[in-house]
Amino acid sequence: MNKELLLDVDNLVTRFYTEEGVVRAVDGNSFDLYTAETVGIVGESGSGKTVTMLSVMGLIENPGRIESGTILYKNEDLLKKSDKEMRKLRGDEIGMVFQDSLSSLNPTYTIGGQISRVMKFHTNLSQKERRKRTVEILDSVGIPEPEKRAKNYPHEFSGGMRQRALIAMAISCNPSILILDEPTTALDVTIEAQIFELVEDLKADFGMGTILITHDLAVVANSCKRVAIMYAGRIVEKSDIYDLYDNPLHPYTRGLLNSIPDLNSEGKTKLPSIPGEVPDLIKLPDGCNFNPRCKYAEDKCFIDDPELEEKNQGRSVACLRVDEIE
Amino acid sequence: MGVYVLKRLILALPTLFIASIIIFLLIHLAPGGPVRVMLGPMQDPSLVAKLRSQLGLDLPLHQQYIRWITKAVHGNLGISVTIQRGSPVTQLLIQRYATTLELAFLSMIIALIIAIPTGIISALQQNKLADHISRVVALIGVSIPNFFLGIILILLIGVIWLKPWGAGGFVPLTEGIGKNLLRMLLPAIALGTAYSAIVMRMMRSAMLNTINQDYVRTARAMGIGWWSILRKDIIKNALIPVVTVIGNSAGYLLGGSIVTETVFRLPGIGALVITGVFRRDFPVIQGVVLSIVVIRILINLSVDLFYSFLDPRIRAGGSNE
Ligand SMILES: Nc1ncnc2c1ncn2[C@@H]1O[C@H](COP(=O)(O)OP(=O)(O)OP(=O)(O)O)[C@@H](O)[C@H]1O
Ligand SMILES: [Mg+2]
Repeated sequence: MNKELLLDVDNLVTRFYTEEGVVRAVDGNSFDLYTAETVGIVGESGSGKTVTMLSVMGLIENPGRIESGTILYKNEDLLKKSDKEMRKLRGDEIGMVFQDSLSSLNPTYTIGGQISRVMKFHTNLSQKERRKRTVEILDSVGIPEPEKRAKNYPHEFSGGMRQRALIAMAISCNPSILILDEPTTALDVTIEAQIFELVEDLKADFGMGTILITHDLAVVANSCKRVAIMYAGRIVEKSDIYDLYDNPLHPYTRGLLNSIPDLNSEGKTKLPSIPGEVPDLIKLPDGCNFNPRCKYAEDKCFIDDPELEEKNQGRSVACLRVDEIE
Repeated sequence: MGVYVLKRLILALPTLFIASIIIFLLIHLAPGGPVRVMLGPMQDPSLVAKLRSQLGLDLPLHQQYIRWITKAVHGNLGISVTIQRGSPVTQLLIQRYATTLELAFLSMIIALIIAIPTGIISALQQNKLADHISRVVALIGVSIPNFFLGIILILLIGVIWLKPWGAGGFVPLTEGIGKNLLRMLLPAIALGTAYSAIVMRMMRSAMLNTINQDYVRTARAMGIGWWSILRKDIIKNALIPVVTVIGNSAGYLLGGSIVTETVFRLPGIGALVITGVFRRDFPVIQGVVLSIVVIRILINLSVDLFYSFLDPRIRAGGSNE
């Protein structure tokens, strides 16, 4: 399969104008996605991962606003599209699975009904055909007894099954892009592995491009080729996953990697083993956003704001001292 | 489902038991005993004794209770002693309830017709003009006591505008539904608008809460149309807490009916209990209070049933699984 550019996001800026102040949730991010690949976006809670994807989906609502940037999907600028065009695109061309599977499903609507409704809005299938297809999709994402299970309500599903149901909903119209927002945080390791296996299969079968958002670098290592590390609303490092592991450039990435004891171990790891906290996105520090937590920070880091710069092919990093630190 | 209903009915028995004891003891709270109170100043001792034994008041308390409750279970609530001397209380209740329930029902319909759409619009237009207007009106609606609204309505519409028909007074259903509705409309509006203010506020806040739920975002991310999201994701889930409030405040509607009936001179249960109190008709008072308790329990049960119909999570807990 030859690689086709699916998504090209350039310099995206999204802000929320709250009463407390302006939240700089996404601050000049650029990334792209090709067919049949998985790109990982990794960062601590509150670093702007979900908002980045909501921006791509056209789901930023008051008091939020996309300030600038371009989002090209198959060479069409999504920011120029009307609400109606975006609605047609969502669920049909781009599918998204959200983080909390229980709250992300309508509790008073059967699983099958919710999946069938997506097709109702994007296909010409009759109700009977949709019902049949719903059962097929549920089967393909590994739900046992799909015919019976389609009639269940979300609370009757286990966490892993709900996540599969959400994936089923997102892929029901064969989208070109599937966005997975922390699809496995609430699941145990075995189920997590099964979900990623499923995503791998879908990718191979349909050439879908996948964006995987996660807290967990170990998860990314198993399923992505390229990763972007996000910190306080910005991508601070972009790299091939092997290079990243071999030689992390940004001090934040180093901290993240140090927090994983053993890449192949079964135990899950949580990120915040770097001392300090993610800064408040309303009151970002002067200079580099990471300076309060960075052990390499020196005077210039508190004055100048580093830009994301290309180092060598496919690798970029936003750090003023990247050439000085070892 | 059948098992669930049965279970709920059995669970209601203790409530009913305690309520019945209190209602039964009511009669003995009157100073000097019920018979003396009933007979008023002229107290022929032989008459007192006769009435006492006729009412079974000479037996020990627990026996009196058993006698009373056994009869009540069989639908016999005794005989009216002053209001309609000699007629069975049950018969009186049935007559009067027809009016009260009609009033409560009409008011409920009027309230829902006003409240549900306004609540929805208000939530969708949050902090815009339509929202501000309906909230102010609702605030006024909640604050005005409905007897006052009733009096205003009688004055404004009844006396001035509809003068030829007269405002108060009652025409039974049997004399034609049109005439009956004409008389019931004003009281139903008086009671229904006040009640709609409560329901509207509830609907609005439930909608606002539901709009921000993750599943609404999921539906939007799947490219579902606005109308479908509004109906199936937002309104359906928002109705769940609203139904509870409607059910829990059905008591308010019953209480409101009693006041409204008095203002509009309707021969409902309210008028009956008030006359009962003034004329010391203890069997009637007991009958009314007991019937209100039973109705409350039945209303709660039907609210729960409707609730479980709306919310599958409850349905599962009650019947299968
Ligand atoms: N509707 C909103 N109004 C105001 N601020 C918002 C809104 N949505 C998100 N934010 C802010 O944007 C920032 C980024 O949030 P986002 O949800 O993208 O983080 P995240 O990286 O996905 O975190 P997590 O891992 O916890 O999901 C946060 O500071 C959050 O408070
Ligand atoms: Mg998130």
